[in-house]
Amino acid sequence: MSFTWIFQGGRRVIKTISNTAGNVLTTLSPGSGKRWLVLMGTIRLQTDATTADRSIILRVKDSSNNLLTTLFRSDSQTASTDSYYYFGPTKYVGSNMDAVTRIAGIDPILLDENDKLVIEISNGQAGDTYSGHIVILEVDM
Amino acid sequence: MKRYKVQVEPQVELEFEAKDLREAKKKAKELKENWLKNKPQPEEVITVEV
Repeated sequence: MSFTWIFQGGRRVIKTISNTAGNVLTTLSPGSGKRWLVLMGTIRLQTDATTADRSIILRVKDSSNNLLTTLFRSDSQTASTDSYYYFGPTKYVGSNMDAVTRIAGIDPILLDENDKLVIEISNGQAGDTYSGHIVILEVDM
Repeated sequence: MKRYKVQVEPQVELEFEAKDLREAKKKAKELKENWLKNKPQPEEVITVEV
């Protein structure tokens, strides 16, 4: 017989998004026996010289790839630019703050073990690069 | 073009397009190597005593 020691409060984890090409989707998922509360994060998008309007889309899907919600879709980002996008439980978005700092206010989102957090760059190019960090609370089920 | 995915670390998958399985396997290997190589590292700050 074995026992599993479960800390009900969970643990804070920072998931790192490595430098990834703009035409590649990144999917994060808690996996078996875990739940995530997605708290906040930052995504940096660096675009190449290809003329196109890119935008970052952050979606939540279930295990069957059904779209549950879209947390945010950024404004267009043009060629040869470098921008950071922030999301979290930010309630105040000032008139200048939104455009300058690109903050999306979201409430914490619960992901069950096979749910997915999907990062997509709409019109993302092979020469674009995105990276970032996402802060979650990971709880054992 | 078909869509393929590769697991680059526990809890993280990348999804990409390739024309066939052969190209997909090659891309998947590159993506996994790049992912591991290019992880952003925290900036090192050294505390000095005066």
